[in-house]
Amino acid sequence: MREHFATLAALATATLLLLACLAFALIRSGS
Amino acid sequence: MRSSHIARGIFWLGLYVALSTLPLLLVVLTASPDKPGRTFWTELSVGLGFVGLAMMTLQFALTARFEFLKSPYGSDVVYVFHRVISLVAVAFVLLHPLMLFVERWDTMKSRPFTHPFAFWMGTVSVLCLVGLVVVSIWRKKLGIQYDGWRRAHAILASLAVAFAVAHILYVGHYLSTPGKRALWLAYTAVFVGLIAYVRLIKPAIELRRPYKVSAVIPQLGDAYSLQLKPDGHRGLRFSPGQFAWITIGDSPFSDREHPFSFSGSSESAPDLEFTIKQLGDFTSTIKNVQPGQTVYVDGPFGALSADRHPHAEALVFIAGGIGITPMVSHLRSLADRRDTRPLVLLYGSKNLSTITFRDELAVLQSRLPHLNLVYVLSRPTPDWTGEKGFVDAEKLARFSPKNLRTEYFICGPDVMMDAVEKALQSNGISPGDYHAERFNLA
Repeated sequence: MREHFATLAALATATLLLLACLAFALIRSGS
Repeated sequence: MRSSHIARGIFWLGLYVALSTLPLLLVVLTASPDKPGRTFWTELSVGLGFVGLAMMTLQFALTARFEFLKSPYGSDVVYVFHRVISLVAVAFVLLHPLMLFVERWDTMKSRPFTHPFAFWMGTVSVLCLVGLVVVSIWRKKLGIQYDGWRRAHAILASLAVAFAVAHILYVGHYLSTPGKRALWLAYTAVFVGLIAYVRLIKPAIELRRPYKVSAVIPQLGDAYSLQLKPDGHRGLRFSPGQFAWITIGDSPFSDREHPFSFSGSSESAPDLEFTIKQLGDFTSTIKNVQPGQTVYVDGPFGALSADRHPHAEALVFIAGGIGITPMVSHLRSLADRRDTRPLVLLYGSKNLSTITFRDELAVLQSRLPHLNLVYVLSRPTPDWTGEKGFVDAEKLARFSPKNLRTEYFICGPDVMMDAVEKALQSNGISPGDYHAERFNLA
């Protein structure tokens, strides 16, 4: 059960980081 | 108590996201107008590369055994997070060159590399990462021993980060200002500092705080108890249910250490006891350890402790096989503290002859009048009149104290822990009220 929470936390973190990368690319490319 | 753990947990997760994205924020905030952005895919590729490298550096902090960082969750949860997030970091890092190749395919045919040295640095870093993933996921299939794997893991991880830092320094596109260079210098310093801390400083501290084996006691179920006394220092304090990494017959610099739960009472500290079942290469050598031999101890670690739940009105311990060690530590500590709360130990074993600590548990039962000691035997002899089979939902419901705020502690083989967690859930026990920690770290 706790491992599922850890996996979920890691996947949520990964989503946030991916969104940050997309925002960075949008801002830097000016698109 | 629990809400403060949740708050600390969220804080560390937030800090992880902040530190991983800091390079991107710095680039955006300090972007110079004379250096316009490139295409979306190029910038996304660079962003993924930066974040991937920051994540790789932070992996060293996750596994550096900082108890303040792990205590809100438990060590096993941090290791699961480490494993999952490392795959994400590798995906980010792999996407970085892939996107650039696709984006620049036409120009690359005529002019392959603008920064050939940087390209090769990046390639070596990616190869180290791929190697790292392969030996970690398929360690057992590849027949790699635990000690050798730990060494290979550390070397490949260090090389991957070192070559990746060299890669971005040589490319240098976003390192034009002193601030950005300072950021990557700081990340590199943290990375080198963590390696120095784990490989040099911590072992040096352990070397100055040795323990001597005072006794090696054979136990039922193919296990041995190792009793230790601090040699020339005041030793350490621990909570029942915690564990430590121990090194026997080697220098603490050798990196040949293994995690074991304390089986002694926390009230007997600084004298320590570990009980180890013969299961693998290292554990099979425990019987050969001699009194007087030097042992190094790094700990305590772990969150599987009733001391973290002082408001519990009753405690239920569920153990399978050698998973009894943290539970015996609890019962010994609670007996020494003259605890009067209702206690239950549900202890799954094959048969009576494999019950590690059977005699000790009989003594503990006489010292703890409120302890209900229940053996659950999977392969009992025909004359056994006690509980048979496995620790299941029905037995948990039957033996759990009624109408009391009860906390459950589980330790045993993975299959058993999965089954018990499911059974507790089906009995309506909230996940916040049961606690488990797993030790299959690799």
